[in-house]
Amino acid sequence: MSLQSLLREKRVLVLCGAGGVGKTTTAAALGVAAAREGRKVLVLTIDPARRLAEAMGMPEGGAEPTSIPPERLHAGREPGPGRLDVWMLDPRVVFERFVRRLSPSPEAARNILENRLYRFLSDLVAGMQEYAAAEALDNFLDEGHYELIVLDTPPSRHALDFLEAPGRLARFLDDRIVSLFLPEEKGRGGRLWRKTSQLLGNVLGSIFGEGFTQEMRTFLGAFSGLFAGILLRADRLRGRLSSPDAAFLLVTSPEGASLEEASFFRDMLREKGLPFAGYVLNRSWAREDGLTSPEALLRHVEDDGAARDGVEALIGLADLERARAEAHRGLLKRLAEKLPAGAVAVAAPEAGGELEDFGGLVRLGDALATS
Amino acid sequence: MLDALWERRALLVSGKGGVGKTTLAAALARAAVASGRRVLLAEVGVTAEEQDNPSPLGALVGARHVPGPGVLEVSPGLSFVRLSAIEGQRLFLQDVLPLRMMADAAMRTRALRRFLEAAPALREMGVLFQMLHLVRRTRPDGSPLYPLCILDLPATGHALAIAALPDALLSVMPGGPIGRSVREGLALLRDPRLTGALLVTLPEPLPVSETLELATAIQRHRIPIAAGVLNRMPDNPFSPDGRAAVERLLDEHGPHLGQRALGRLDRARTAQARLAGNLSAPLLTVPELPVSGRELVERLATYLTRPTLHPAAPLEGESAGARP
Repeated sequence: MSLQSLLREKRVLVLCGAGGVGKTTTAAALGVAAAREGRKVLVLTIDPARRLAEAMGMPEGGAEPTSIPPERLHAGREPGPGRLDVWMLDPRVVFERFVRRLSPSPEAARNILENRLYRFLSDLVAGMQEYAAAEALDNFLDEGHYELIVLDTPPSRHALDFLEAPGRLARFLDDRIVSLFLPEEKGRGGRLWRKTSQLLGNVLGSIFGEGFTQEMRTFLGAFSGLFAGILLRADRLRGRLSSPDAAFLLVTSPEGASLEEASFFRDMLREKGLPFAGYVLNRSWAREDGLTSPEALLRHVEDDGAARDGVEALIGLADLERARAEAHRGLLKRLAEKLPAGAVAVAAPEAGGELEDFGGLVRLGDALATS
Repeated sequence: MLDALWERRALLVSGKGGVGKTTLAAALARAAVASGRRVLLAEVGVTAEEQDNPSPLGALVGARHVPGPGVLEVSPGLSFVRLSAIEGQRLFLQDVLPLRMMADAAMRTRALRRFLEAAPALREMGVLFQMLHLVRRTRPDGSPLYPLCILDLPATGHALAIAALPDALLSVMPGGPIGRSVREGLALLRDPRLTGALLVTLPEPLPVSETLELATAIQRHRIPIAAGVLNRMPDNPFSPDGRAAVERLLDEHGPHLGQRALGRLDRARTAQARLAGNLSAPLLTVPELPVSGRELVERLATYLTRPTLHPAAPLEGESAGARP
């Protein structure tokens, strides 16, 4: 299988990887390639670099996905049926919608959203971005408007962090725990429970002050109604991502890449029963460019000393380049070893720094799809 | 400039994943020790699950077995610690609760532990609190036990989360023990004589853009930036005349091998100029070296302690990246 067939056949591509490897760029380029091939595609991303957002024509923090104008998408060829939407998701927007949807009544939703603590919790980055990504993905899969969703997961130390987020949030909102914070008459349980609740009340009172603890109780009380919904949706998303319609790719870069990270990723997916689709070695020099060695230039320097020094320096750079390219090819080869059937290991060329325009994404997407 | 860095109490080393932040934190610690400082090197952002895994930063300074949240002296003058949220939270509870017993009992409560683990703000607060606790520790004569703490902050937006945390906490809990300890933390974090963030980045367009954005955001939270650190700057082997001649030759005879390296070098130089021109802090440029792991740490530490890096003039003037 090639990356191209993944782009043709899958419904969800999840791109994982550490921060700084060019994951967002890869997601965008793959989305562009699939859309130019005729599919209806959504690229879902969190916090892309501003330049990339500009290249995609994506407003920051919009409430809805933005469509790439067809004349841009299909530039240089006959316009096809493909369509590309991109959304840089704003965790706050996603979360607010989610609260509204799951709340039993509009009043209940308002109770949560207007609580000061709500702002505080959703403002804090850790965990919430991941949760928002999972939530938004689930939602779009449910609506079924898109044939392919490319998810650029939030950067994290561990590639699969975002899958853990709903579980963490659910643990946080576990109603057994939440009930400990609830006013006593609403709670349940025996003496042990009451004692724990009392201790917790004392501790929290001393830490946060009585007023805050009261506020926290109200907030968690309102939130506990959503708990069942969160678990249900987490299960559903897990089910969808385990299906053969989904594919997980690890994006890595030659600098940060380690074979341990790659095999860890694979094992992790296997353990979780998620479909592993392979590796993208980003910004690599693995491709041959078939250029002649700069030694040939020495013939033309004649008695120009500066030119001779310059060419000598270029010869040094060429040696470095050769060594680097070889190292990258070695890395790619080892990534490709023992790949399961259907998985890919491809090298994405170094795009020459920043992608300044949409054309750069088109070129990168083509290069990836055809490798 | 480095001597001025070593005068502070806390250096926050921050940067995106893959920029070599952890290696630089280790090298800075080594360099500070070589300049006669007593240093505590701290790994930040360890979650409860990660606490038992080997520490990448610890390994770089030769800390084989890291004793949980305890401090380990790895070599004369250099200590290592993994800051843990849970440890900080326990210390905090000990501080605010009337009885130590109560704090221990509370930390044994699964519900509370889970709550503290899952609520992100409280995790970062725990880290902040343990850091304050270590910074405050003194020797019998009253002088600080760890005059200089170098913190390797986690990749991604966590540096910002830590910077933003005090404001967020103060806005919901202006009073009480948390408010008090946050104010104390802020007094340390916002004093440019005591604290400085070091923003590590690579000489490529995107990382530089992101670093400039991070700098703006960190300054919004009034955390002082001590310096930018441009890591892995490729060596420029050309004299201006030689480079011009090569351009002429390549124009005449078409592209040759070495083009990609040449492009990379040019991008690096442009990125360096852009960073130096737009960052409102001194810029320290560190060369790309063909080694890795502990050897890289040692070589970088040697580079950082070489005498020419300590001129009276600020560092931006130095054309690092050119021929050494």
